[in-house]
Amino acid sequence: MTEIPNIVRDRLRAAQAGDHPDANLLTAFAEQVLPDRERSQVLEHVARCADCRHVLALATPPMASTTVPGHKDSALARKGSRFGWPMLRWGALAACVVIVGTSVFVRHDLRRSQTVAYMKLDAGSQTAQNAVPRPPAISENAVSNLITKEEKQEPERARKAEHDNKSAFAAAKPVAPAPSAPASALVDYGTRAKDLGSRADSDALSNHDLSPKGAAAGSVSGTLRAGPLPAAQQPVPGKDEGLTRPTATLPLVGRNVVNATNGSAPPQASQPVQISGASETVEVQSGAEQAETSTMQYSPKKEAPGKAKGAAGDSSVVTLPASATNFEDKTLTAAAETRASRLESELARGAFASSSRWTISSVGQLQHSVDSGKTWQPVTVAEKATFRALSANGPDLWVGGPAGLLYHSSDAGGHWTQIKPVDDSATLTSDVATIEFTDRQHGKLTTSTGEIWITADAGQTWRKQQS
Amino acid sequence: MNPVSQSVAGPPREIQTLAAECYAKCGAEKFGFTCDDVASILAEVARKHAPAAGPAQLREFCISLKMEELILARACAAGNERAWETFMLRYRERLHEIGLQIAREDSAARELSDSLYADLYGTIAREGKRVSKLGSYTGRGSLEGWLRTVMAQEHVNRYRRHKRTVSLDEETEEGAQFATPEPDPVTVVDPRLESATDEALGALPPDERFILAAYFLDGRTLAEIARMLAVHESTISRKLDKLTKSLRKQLLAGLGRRGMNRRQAEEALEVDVRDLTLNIRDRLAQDSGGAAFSKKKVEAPAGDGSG
Repeated sequence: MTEIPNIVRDRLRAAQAGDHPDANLLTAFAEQVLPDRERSQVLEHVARCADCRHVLALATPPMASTTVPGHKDSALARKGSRFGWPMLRWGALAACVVIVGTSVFVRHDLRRSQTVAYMKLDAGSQTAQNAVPRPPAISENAVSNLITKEEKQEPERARKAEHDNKSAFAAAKPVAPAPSAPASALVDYGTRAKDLGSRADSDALSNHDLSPKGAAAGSVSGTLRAGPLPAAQQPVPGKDEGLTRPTATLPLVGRNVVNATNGSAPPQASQPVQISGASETVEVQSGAEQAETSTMQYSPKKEAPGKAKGAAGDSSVVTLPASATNFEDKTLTAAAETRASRLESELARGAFASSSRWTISSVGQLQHSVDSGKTWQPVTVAEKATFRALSANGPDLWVGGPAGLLYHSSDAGGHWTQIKPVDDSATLTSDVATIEFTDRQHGKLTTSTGEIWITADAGQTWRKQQS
Repeated sequence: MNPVSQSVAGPPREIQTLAAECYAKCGAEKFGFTCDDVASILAEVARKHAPAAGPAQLREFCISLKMEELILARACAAGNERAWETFMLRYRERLHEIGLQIAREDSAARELSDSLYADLYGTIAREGKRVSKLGSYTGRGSLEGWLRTVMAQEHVNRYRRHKRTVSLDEETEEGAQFATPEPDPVTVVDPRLESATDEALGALPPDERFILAAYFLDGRTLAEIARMLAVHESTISRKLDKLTKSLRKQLLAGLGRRGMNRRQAEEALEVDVRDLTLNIRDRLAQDSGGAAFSKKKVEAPAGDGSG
């Protein structure tokens, strides 16, 4: 730093200061609450008065600084405050990186978990139906025929099967019922399959159980519906993404489940498959687009005598139009919804916890905020009790006040218990000045008279520390 | 408890209205203050700090005060026991911590905080009435900040008093009783240089002058100065660098206006005859036998001693 001539030092030192500002003005100056005009006046004086500069230096609240007075621009002085702007800037950047990384990781983990759940679901389906013939590729006409026939002849069986399937899922993973297409328009595919397996006109469906037996069985039900979906149920591209619409990627060919895709795109290998479990229905949309057909190979495990072959011909291969493989998943699976809602609850709880604040007002009342201090609600601990000390450790709260008044709550203020620390013959009767709990068990309180009381068992017993 | 005595003239209406608005919030009731008492306190503070304020400014001024702490302080000054309990609970430990930060040493800190307690409690009686220092708190800043400032002032006063105290031991040193005051060296400074310097310094805004004085006279670090002015350290560093360079330019320009040419001006700034005088004295002192005069420095007015 460039030095100044000695004459300048002399003239600075010789300046007349005038009347000294009182402690109130100096305090207000140090705390930066003076209006500009008064601030200039005080600054004008302290620029000329060494004593007032010294008082101001002492009166200004110190930061966590390691500066040593009198060391001009020394290395120690330069290091000075550890919380200078450069450090804060890098700290803020590091915090942003951590936050972004954590949220990406949580999101990734959530998706992976849901994918795994679906893979297990599907794997269970594979295992359970190991010997079960794979479903055939069914032509649209066959589907329509099946539906029409069944809807005409066995509506009761459909309702019963749907109820059974729902119960099975509920038993495996209880979940709130998801919205679904009108039940009347849906027919339980699995039951149909069982029933139809005994009919001569659908060899491909024999012994094929597509009805879900819960997550353990892992089977997937299918509900075939003739015709396009109602407008309200038309697939919305991109709508069903995110946590609420988990998907599992399954190859199209050679699976024993009916493949589904989002939207109306024609099926391709490894299209995302949405498997509905909550309402145990999978809608097959036979739309106008039938760009190509997909073929699934199916080998029936056994062939009932006298059963006719599949509608496609002598072979067991039934061709299903591509569009018929486009599924519109209107509902979440039970597992997915449970997981998603659980995660959302946990996230919300975490957010709540981080925004929960406790304080004691100037009149000694305990107050709680759930929005990081924007608004406060009073909390009644005891009638006409005032407090001056507070310790909050998650839901574990301690408040202390005059004459040894001490209350504890372990449920975030839901219930309070008065505590009277006693050590041998000594009882806490002094005003509680501070309370510190490093964790739920270990705490220390100090009184206005300098007493220190310590507990290591969450306040069940106390020990008065000898000074 | 004795309520605060009311001044001769009643509080202005704005203050009465404001006192009624914040009476419940500031906790005056629990200390035995009425609404009128609160209005009187506000009026007193406003008279002291904003005597010529209009109604709107008056209201704004009163709103800016730390009402709750002001009421607490005034209740303590009036001897309210409950107020003292609250004060002790909140500030007892804090006072000791502040003392430690100021005095940097435990025994000095205890002495400082104990003496402040006595002043705050009001051990001095005036006209039969206890006078507490808390009565002078006006709520412009926080009560804790005010306590810190008062303690700092006391610390500085003690330091100055100690500096002026002459030790008796020193008086009995050999030859000390024959000590003669050591005159300050008298130097003749070019009056043009003095006036140019005064002109340049007078043109500086208060914050720049403050920065110069704090850095070059007090030896404060950049961080300390930044903290006092509530700016970043780098701001002070940049300002100081810019300031010293511009000051030199201003001085040279001022000396030029006073008839010096550039070389003379630079020479006048760079060479200080006092430095030369001191160097000669030091050299002479090294060659002498023993100290004939006490090294005790006594302040004396400048006389006609030779330089």
